Amino acid sequence: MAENKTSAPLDKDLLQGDYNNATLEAKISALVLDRHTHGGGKIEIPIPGTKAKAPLTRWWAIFLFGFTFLNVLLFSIVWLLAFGIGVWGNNQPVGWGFDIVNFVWWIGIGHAGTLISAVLLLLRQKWRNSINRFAEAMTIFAVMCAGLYPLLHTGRPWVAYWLFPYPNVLAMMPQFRSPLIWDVFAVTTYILVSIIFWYIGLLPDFATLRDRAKNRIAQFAYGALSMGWRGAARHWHRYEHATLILAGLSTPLVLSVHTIVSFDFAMGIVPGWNVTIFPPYFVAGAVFAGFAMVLTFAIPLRKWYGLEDFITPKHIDWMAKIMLATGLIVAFGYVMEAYYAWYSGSPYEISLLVNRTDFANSPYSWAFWALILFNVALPQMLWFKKVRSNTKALMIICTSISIGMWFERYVIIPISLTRDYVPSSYGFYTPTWVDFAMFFGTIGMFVFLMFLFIRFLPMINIFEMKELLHERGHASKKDAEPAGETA
Amino acid sequence: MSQDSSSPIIRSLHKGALTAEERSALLQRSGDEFPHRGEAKKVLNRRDFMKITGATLALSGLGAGCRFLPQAKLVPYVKQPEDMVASVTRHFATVAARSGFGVGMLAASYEGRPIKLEGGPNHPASLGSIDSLGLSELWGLYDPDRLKLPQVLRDPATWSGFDKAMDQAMAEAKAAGKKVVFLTETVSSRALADELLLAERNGAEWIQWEPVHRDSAREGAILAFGKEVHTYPKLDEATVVLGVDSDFLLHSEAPVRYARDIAAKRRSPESGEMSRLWAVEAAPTLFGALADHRLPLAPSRIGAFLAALAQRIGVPGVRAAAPPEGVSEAWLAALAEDMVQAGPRAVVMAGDHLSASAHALVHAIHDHLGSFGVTMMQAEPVLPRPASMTAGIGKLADMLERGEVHALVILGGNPVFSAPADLGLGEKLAKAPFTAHLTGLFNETSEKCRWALPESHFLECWADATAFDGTMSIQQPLIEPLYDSRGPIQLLALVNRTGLTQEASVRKALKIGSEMAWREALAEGVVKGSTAPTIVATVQPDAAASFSPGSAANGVEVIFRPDPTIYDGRYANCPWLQELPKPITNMTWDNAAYMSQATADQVGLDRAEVLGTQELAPGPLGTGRPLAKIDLDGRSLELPAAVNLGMADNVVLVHFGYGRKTAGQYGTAHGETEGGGFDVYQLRSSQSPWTASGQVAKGAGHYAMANTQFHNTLDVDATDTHRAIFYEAPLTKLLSGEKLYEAHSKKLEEKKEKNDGEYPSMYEGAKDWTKENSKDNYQWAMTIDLNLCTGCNACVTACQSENNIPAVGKQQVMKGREMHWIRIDRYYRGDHGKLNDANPPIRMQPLACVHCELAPCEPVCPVAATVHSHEGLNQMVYNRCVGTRYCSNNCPYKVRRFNFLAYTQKVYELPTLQMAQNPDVSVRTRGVMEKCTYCVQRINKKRIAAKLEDREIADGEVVTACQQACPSQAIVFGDMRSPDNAVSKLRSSKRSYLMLEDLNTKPRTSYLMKITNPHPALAEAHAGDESHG
Repeated sequence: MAENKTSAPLDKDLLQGDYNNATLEAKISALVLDRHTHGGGKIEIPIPGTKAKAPLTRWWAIFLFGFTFLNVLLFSIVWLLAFGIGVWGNNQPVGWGFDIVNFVWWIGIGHAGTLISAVLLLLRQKWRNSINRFAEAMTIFAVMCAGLYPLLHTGRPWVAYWLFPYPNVLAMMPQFRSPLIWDVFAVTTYILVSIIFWYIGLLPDFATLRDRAKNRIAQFAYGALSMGWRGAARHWHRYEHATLILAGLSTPLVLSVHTIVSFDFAMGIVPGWNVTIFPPYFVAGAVFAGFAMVLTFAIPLRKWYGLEDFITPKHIDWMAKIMLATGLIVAFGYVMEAYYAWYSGSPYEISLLVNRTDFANSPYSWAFWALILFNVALPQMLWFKKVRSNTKALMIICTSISIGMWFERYVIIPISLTRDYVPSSYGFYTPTWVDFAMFFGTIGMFVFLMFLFIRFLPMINIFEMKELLHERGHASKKDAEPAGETA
Repeated sequence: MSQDSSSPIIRSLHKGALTAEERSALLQRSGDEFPHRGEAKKVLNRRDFMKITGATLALSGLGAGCRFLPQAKLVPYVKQPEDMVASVTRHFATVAARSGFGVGMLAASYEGRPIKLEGGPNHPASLGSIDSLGLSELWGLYDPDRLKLPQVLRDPATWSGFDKAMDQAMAEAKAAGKKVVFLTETVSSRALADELLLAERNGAEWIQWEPVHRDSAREGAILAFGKEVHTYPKLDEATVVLGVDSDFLLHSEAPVRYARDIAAKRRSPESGEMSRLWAVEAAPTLFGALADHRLPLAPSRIGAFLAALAQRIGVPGVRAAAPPEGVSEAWLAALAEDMVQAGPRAVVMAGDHLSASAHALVHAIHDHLGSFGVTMMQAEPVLPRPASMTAGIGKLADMLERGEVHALVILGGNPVFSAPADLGLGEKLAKAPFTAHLTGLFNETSEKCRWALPESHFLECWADATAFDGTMSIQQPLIEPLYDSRGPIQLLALVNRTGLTQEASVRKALKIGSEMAWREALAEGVVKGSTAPTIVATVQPDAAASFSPGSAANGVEVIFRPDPTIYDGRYANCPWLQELPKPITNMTWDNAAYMSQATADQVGLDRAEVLGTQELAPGPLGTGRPLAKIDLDGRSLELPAAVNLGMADNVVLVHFGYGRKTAGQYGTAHGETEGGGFDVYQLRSSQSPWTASGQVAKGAGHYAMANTQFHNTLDVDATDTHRAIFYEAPLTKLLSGEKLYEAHSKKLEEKKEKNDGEYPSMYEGAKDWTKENSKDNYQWAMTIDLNLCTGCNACVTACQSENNIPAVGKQQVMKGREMHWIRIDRYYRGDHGKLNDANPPIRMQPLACVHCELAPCEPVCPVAATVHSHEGLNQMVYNRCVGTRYCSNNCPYKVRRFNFLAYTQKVYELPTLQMAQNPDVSVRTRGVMEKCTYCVQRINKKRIAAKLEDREIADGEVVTACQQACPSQAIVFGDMRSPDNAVSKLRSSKRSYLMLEDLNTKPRTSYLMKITNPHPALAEAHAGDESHG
């Protein structure tokens, strides 16, 4: 585990504060086992559980917010199933509106988690240790939100299982030429691998919680979940191999899932969809949006739960830098889209460009320029170190990116459809209250699940933090030793 | 022969067991309809409730069924009726009269129930084609809101009760020395006229009223010829046609026939022979859109225009006059030159709305050119009793006012709603002690009458009708009355006590003695030799000289026209017609005040709002159209304003027929959310039924309207230029042999050459169906001739009727979810980046699924619900569709339609609507994609027929519904394998092109370019009509 293979020396800023294994473990597991930690007050070490003031208030407030909107979601789903797709704003020519916009948006948000847990693991980036757990949880919940849409956007959701290849008397398989079928495989694989990866990563921590829990029910529950983990060397050996394999499996998913999602559009004939740059540009956009969402959650959580020692300014700075880099790729994508349209000479593509950007001719140009403002202009602030270290500014920029990425999908999906080839079929897309209810409902569901997660599961990986602590110990020792010895 | 009493759906009560009253009482108390549920709620007390409950129990105990209750017994024919093969649709010739003129039809009957109306191939007004209104007559039969029982003051009653009351009323009238008046619409039926004349001989009075009347045409003829003369054009002989404010391709004596005749001289411009069409009109009409030269002109100037034209043609006696403002000397000179050159082959189509003296002047022009007998026929009056409608209804109002009318029996129509506003007929009706209204639907007039009597639909009773050229046809019923109704002839025969059956009355009136002749007339759909003999009537010398062009308008000119789809309001409860986009404006479910952009500016209306740009029109975000307030002689009305490009300035066009107060669930005006429009009859007076001068001002508020399309343009800006959509070229270019159109990019052309003459495709790997399958399979293809399409929308309604397409309602249309499989795309053609707002060329393009060989919709469907057949059909498998809508997104033609909601729910709920469905076509459910199938059910029927005879399907054997209806025969369908087939010949025509060819989707529907034929002297002004690509 603690082999000295890292090419770069460990950054001391990745774990601050004076911890030993016991206090570290106590602090993180207290987030789950001691409900007072959710009261909103800053928790000091060690955690005797004495500071009992208004327990769980903040947690409850946000949890109930999520729960309320979860119910809004359920209500709008019932409404949708009762009456049909017509309760949304979708129409002719706009077959896909909020449904697919939100699908792509949520799938994109999930991407940061996979990138952090898989790619950074393979690259042995130790700074992922403190953020990977909740980033992975976000992945799973975001994909759950995303997965609702393709299912519910079908006109007859009760036969949506026809999209899966299963043996049946009709001897009908789905049509494998359709990008939607690729989607089905991509998203299904993604959620399965993500859940397995996440769960396996939780095993040692479940064992820790089992051991630390005082309550019978918690002991039993975490005991069952830990699947008999005893921390034996053989366990660790298998664990290491399993995570490595899963990381290997997940890494292509980071690229493939959003690539395939982008194929839904790139394989289409609609001007504005039919763009070859979509796969890389969608993947970059997904990472961009994903990190923005990770920061949106990380910044308040670290403050509320006193996790500044674990999620340090260094983490935040690096995440901001990734956002800046992927944001620039996305901006390049926008430029290339416009360039392609002009260079193609195709009247349909040029018309699309005009329809997107021209204030006078296009009823939707505001959405495009909002996208540029939120997604390109504001993130340029990240060039400045001052901004990257200012959590309030970062919160604003991350929110801006989330909105901007949503608008990106909005501009690409419904707006391209409003005007394609035949002017007589030009239309307009107006979302309805059900569209908004479902969108905010999935946000509610996401918040609901995230807060269940931080209440019942350790949001920071305990054993990996211990590992980091251990390595920090080594590093400080090495600093003290003569330089020649390591060579 | 078609009265099929053994039909499983139509049942009659065991007649021996019950008296008529009992039967009737039974009907109202037991059926599934409960027609008076509303009343029952109001008046039902405990005792009545117990009585009804007891009666219901007792009657159900008797086992007596309702005539209309669908029973769960399936009984096969014990005796197979002659010629009847289950599941085979049979066709019967019949005729329907509209505003006094018969239109022949073939009614398709499936196991005893009519399921579709088609054109009568032998009927002169149809020649096998049909228009939207004709097609929609079928809805009238199955309309769920039909009046089902006689009512007296809205209470259920019986026919025998009415008979008694009528007898009594007649006796009372006689005793009091007052009149019994029969008010009818224009009567076309000889049999009905005979009954009415008999009633007149017995002392009654017969008056006709029709809001869409031809009073000025009739008076004009009297003025010109000194007597009643009926004239009708023979447009297939005409090389120059001038339409003067006439919408004869939409609403006239024979719009279908006229479209066919116009097409005759425009079908093959390659031959060099092509008629030239000129139009002068206040508002764009179908003919105006088709015309080679179109000039918007206010109605007040049309008289001066006609006088100036007549003078330039050399009509004797016309004083020299300068052309009115808006008509250039060059234009007029070119037109006059054309007409003189054409001589007898020139014809002027004068609108029914022109003054009588203008009609007389037009007759003088015809007389001078020698057109009579060549392109304009003269005949004795074809109607049984031509009369002035305006005078008639005025007389009735006077008689009512003076209390001279004791009994008023209104046969059909809706005079309370449609009578001139100044007469106040609705209030005066109360002055007659006995009033009765025979009507299919309970309407505003029924409301004011003591008796409301259910009228049999024309498919339920015998009658006859006279066509525009006098040809008589028999209205043959196909089904026993669905409800307890009577036909007008039946009613009058009982009143007159002639003792004749309806059939006998018709036979007697048409003077058909022999059974053979009768059967032949029934089978043929026309009575042989009944065409009115042509006469020679000379124009009186002073007809032209006495013409006065009329005075200038004072204020804004408001012109009244029947609604393009619901006509005078009679079709208001037909959702097919409500949802049918009105030609050119593409409005549905409402009427509006149409005006030019300049007039709208003058009134002070917001440009974007009045134009109805996309973002404003649909949905809750849009503010809708601004209201305009029209003031005419103290009567005023606020209705939404809309710009209609190509209208004359200072003119406001309003359509009457909307604003119904009592018209059933679809027709009654429900306000902004559900539509139904505004009552323009309130403004229409007997003095100025077609044009009136008044004031138009900005009103307060907005009203959202449902357009299916917006102000689509071509070649105006970067968003609509260079698209391979609608190609056109002037005749000279066609004849010169130049290349008619080019793709938008040279690079693309080069690629095409390198690629075996094919553009690059997104879906290269897809199969080339034609090459692979052309040996063993039919290869279906369609061509649409844009040179012939008038944009009348008949194909849309035909498709709707054939393919069980639901109407979705105003809200859904506003959201862009109308379900029509075929639509008419209307474009305003720009000229080199500029749109002539005042008079843009209007282009029509019918578009349904084009059945691409490399269809973009197919590879994207995740469940293979849309697949290609070996015959080149792009098929939609409804059962397999999960409704992802990906296919629709990926369709460049945007011709797919999705069932966003349960649009067909009513079909499941209402038994009558079930009867209206075509059994050969699935009724689609919620969440399923659908689109044009090339009428695959019709192909399969012919395939079965051909297989039984062990032969191939012959060319022209399969006729799609749209093709069948098309009045100008612009649509041709067939197997494109053999080069000799009609469709192959057209596909290889020089004019043939593929829409969006540059996408290389290889559509099976090809288009024939529109060819314009501008006058050489004016061709310069038509530079914009050059080919576009």
